[in-house]
Amino acid sequence: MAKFHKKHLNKIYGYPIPITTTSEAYGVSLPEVYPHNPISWLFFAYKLIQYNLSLTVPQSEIKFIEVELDQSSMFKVDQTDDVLRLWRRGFFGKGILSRSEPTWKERTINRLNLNSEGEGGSNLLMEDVTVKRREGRQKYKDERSKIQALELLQRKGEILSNDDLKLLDEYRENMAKLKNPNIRSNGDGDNDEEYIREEDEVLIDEDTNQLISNLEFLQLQSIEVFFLKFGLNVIKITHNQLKLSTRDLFLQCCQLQSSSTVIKPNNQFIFEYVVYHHYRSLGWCVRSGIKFGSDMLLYKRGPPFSHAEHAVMIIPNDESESESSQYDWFELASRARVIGTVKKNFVLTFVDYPHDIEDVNEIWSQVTDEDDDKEILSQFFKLYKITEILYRRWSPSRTRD
Amino acid sequence: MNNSNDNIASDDNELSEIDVSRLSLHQTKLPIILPVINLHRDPQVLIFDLENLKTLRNEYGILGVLIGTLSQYPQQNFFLSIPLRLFVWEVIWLVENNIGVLLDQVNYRKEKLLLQNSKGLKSSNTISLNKDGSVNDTSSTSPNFIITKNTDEIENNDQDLLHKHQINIQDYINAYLSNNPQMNGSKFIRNYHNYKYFKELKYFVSPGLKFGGDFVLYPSDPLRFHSHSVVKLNSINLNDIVVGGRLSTGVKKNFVVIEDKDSDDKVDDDISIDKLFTSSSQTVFSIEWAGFG
Amino acid sequence: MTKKELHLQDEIDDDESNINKNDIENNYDIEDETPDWKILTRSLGSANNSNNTNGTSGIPKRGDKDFEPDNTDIQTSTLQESREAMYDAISGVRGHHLKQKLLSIWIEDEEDGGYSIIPFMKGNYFRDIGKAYPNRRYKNCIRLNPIETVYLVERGSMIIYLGDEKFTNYLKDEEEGEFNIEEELVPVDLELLYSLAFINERYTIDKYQVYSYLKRHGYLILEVDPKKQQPPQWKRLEQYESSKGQSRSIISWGWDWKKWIQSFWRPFPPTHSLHYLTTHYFKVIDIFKSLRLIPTYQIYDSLRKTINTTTTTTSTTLDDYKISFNVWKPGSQFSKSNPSQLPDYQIVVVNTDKVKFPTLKVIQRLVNTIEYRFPFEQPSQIPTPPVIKKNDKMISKRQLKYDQRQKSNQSKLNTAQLNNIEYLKKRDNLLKYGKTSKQSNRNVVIGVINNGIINLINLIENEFSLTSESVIDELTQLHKEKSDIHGIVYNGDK
Repeated sequence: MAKFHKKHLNKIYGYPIPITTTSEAYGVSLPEVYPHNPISWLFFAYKLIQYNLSLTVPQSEIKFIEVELDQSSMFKVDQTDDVLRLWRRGFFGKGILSRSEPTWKERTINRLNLNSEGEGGSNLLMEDVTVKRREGRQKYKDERSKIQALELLQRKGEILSNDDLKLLDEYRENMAKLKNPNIRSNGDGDNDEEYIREEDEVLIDEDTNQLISNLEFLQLQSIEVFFLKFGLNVIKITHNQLKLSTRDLFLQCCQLQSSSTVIKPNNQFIFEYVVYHHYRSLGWCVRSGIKFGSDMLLYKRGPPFSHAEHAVMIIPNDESESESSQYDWFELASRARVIGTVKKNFVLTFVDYPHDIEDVNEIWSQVTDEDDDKEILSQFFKLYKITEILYRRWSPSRTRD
Repeated sequence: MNNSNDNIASDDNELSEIDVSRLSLHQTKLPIILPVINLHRDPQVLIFDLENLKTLRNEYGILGVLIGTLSQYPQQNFFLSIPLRLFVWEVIWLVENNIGVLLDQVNYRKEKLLLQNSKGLKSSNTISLNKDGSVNDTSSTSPNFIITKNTDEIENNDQDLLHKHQINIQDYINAYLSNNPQMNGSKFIRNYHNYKYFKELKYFVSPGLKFGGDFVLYPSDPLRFHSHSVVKLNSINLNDIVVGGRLSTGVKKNFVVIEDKDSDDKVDDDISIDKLFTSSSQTVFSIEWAGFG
Repeated sequence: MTKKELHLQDEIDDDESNINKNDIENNYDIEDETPDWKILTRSLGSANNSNNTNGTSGIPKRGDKDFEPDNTDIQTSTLQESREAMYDAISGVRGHHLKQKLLSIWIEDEEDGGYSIIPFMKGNYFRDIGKAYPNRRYKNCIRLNPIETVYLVERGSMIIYLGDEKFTNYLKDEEEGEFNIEEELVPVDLELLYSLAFINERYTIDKYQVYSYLKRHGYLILEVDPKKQQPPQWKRLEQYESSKGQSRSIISWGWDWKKWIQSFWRPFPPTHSLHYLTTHYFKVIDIFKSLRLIPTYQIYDSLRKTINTTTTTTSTTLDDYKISFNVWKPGSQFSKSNPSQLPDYQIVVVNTDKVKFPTLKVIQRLVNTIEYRFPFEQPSQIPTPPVIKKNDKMISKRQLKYDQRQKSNQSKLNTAQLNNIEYLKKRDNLLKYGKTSKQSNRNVVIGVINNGIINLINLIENEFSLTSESVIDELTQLHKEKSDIHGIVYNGDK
């Protein structure tokens, strides 16, 4: 079971980045180069030239993933295939109605025993299901009115007899049962007993017995969005129907952290982004660490494969100012303790930042509009520096031998 | 309890000036000596007298932390022995309630020694032990064990000597603050008020570093009861709540945050004893991790 | 997704937000629990000589404690019992047999505060404790610092008397004569000793607590003299680096050629927005390489920085973080007179009320002052200390089966695969601990005290990008072609 499962995981999560390589698209690869063997160099060069001339770069033919920054400052991805691509190639984002991977649609279809997309309405079972649903609804309404009748008497000041009180409790119990369908069904037999709540009915298209729409979208963190735009350039981002340039996006993200238009080099977004980019470029899958009170979690491959190995805490390093450290021992000790209970490695990631820049917007002051946003920002990010220190609990009894 | 304000604020802190009639019933016995070690560099109160230790625990719910090697089992760290290290809030509370008085231990003992020597008194440090480890009181056996006593076991009868070396609470606090730069006057007052709040609800309060908080609360003596809560003093942010809630729930406790309603954000370096000993009201919340598990 | 897939999904439990039962079991740290004193069997010379016969090894087990006081008699009496057990135990005498009596004298010193001397040294406590202090009167005399003194007296191994003027004169005197310590001097009780010993900044109760805690674990500890200094690390590094040659192997020339050829076909550099739309990639790992942007710290960088800086900023935090103790493991080849063997750990003692968590600068400064041997300074084979065999534990059947399976699996693999496994193991160790079996890391242990509670933390210098030469040397030996990408954890071959 486990082996089959592993193969399956490897298949769907085979690529860690939402960029399609030439070898993936065309099934080709470059020959090996043996440094002592000049012929291998020539062969290599020949193949390289051939591919470059004959093949188009696959990524140029892939449409941009659409991301929207909405009114509530949330980054959303709606299109199903976009969501899938982002999740399966790098585990970006989080489904807003799911724990992490967006599975609301599948779960709801299963829970309400609906037909998946593509299935028609000529299913014989469908009729039965609809009839059952109608019956269920009627039952619910009957119970409810019984309860309401008794409650009304109570409110009016009449004292209910013991028998009536017992009945009331019984009805309430029944209601509770009706209202609480199992999320996970135990076997096919139970499905027929499942009850559809009022809230669920609006989701179902009566004719086709399918889900009307997918209520869930993928929510991305600002650092993820910026990486997808600045780092990989695989998304198209809009805000109030306007397309955002990398520069615009940068401004927006910084302002999410501090509302002023003056962006200081110690803006929290910049710290987080620089660290995010650093670990992503080392091949880590980086996700939010809020569940453990840390800033980020590092996964070697991704959540379905194994638990995160490292928990990162970002500490801005103020080089010039004389040591007014921001943190006291309690803060570190308690974080370390939580992280330790889930057996992760606690990594303190210090970020040096430039001090002679008053306002980050200066970096655009000496460039023309044609200069590439990414190149300008890259120069700027190179002014930062990352240092890692591990924080481990030391146990004298364990290290004694 | 309000008497304490008048008494402590008075300049001469002489024991004899405390109006005995104003002391509440359980204070008719003499105050416990709280020896202060290293007053100027790192003031600590350490209790060496076993009877005092028992009284503090049994009657007043003061736990402290035992820090001395247990001579029967000197190679483990679970069971430790005398001295008992009190923490600063316990000390303040004892002084405020006239249960204890602070003593400059090194100078007091040196002078006491001089007096004893002049009288030719000298205590013996050898005893005789039976095979099973019990003390042999009979005078017939000769001593076979040489020991170090915990205290000099001589009564503190000389009131004048005690008064001479007594430390004023203000001096103690000033010494403490000057040696602990992370603490300032108003924070000190707030923390003490918060400590007092729990103490007066009859909780046993212990330091909480191991659990990521300032205090750990027990409904009764930790020897027989599990603790319920981890307390964090001073303001917290959302991350602290996540960490605190998660950590505490993971060890079957809840996470408690508390703030002194009357406190202001002033960062005062000095401290006035009046302010310290006035009553206050607190706002308290407890947090648990829901987990949906 | 099929229903089956959804089930499996839940089982994987990638979401770790639940605090499940296993967490609670794992969270239990034996030192957090207040121990039950009733399991102690002996109390020497105590008030009521209770001879409990149901005691065990002395290690507390998880309790049968209550959650709420319920005012029942049984609860009150159980509490009383536990208390009595505790009071009984802590009233035990501190001392030793007269036949093996070990005496010392406390000597006050205006400048340093005070110290003790042992005229006739005996016993096996002195492997690390004390310094030779021979004088006219006592040839085998040793001198102890206040912390060592309190430790030995408190555990009952030594008796101490208060030295007076007559005694100090006796020490200096030329004349013949004896001095009967026990008759002439007053024995010092523990309360008096503490107040005499702890009177300055150098010797504090916090330091004493850390010292005695580690001593009870069996470690060998020397106090670090704040005045003595080692030849600074940066000097040794500088010497080494200037002596290094600049030869490069033909292999690295080869890789450079490859890069040069490929660069022809990159109209836009990786820092340009159009890069990924216009460049062919044949391996995913090359994408990661091209993403690299943010400069990272390389191990020893902070040493190169300090060459020219003489920090005049005397901030309290910088001063507060100083190494207090050098610590050696109990089984090590340690010798007091010649501690050429590097300490296993170096400890800093701080109090949470006095200092905040150190800034990076402070951490780096600390790490730059430890006693450390660079990888290039070590012989190729590090002499390992003799391994003290643990008690023959019964290896569980499960463990045996697992080991056997591992072995048979491994024998099926060829050398390349075995190589790869070793490579990955080493690399993961570097990421997790900052070191491998052959080279150590630069680290420092901080003993953090809060109101008498000790927390021990190890801060270790590390580098996730794995680009420093000294760090990656071992890794490059296993996988030469990965010399510039050891830090990239993506292992796929796509």
